[in-house]
Amino acid sequence: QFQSHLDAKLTNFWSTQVKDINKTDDFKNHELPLARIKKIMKSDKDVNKISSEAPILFAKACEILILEMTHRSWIHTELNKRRTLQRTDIINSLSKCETFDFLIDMLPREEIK
Amino acid sequence: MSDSDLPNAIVNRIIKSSLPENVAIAKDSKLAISKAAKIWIHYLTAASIDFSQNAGRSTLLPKDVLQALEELDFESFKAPLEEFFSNYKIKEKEKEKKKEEEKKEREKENKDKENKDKDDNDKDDDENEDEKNNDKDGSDDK
Repeated sequence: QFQSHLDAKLTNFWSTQVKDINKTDDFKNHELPLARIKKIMKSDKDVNKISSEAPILFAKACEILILEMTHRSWIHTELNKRRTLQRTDIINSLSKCETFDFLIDMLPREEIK
Repeated sequence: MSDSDLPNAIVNRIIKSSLPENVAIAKDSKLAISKAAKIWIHYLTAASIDFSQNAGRSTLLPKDVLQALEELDFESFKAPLEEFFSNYKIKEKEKEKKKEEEKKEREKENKDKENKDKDDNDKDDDENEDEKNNDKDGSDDK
């Protein structure tokens, strides 16, 4: 039951995302600074050269990621009838999704109720 | 990690924009999301580089990023990202075009100014010529 609720919310989230992207006029205001992103990317020793357009994609992708993580966490907050998004909401919502397994080192193993 | 983090102000702004107005977000939550995003950049970079290397390239290209997203199960990101990217490229082209036109405009203005100066000089020369002739006529007078 939770899963279908989650799915519905996420579908809604994605349709809004595409709509928002279509509305975006201002590209100079990338939000996340490209130099910073490039720096983070370059900390990988396998990284050699980066095309100038790649950080732009990364910045936008990162923005979408933040939106999705926040949204997933918020669903948890709402279901628990709270108005403040807590770290436990993040942990619980992301632990449930395999796609976010890469965060395993960051999230505690045991789920916090 | 000793390398730089994502700027808090901007991350917080993005977080806020995805939540309804009356929602509060605990400070450690904001930090957790920022940290997660940074880890994700590392994760996506590594996956993208795999695609570059498999293609025998040393440069990380946008298409590597898009393929990596699919590989990492973030396929839902592809459509909005591709849309964003094509819009971005269109805007960049328009900017370039505008720059070119402005440059041509300036060059034209400079050229017109040069021509005007040249005309003025020619005019001065003509005037001097006339004066000279007058003098000549005058001196012939006896």
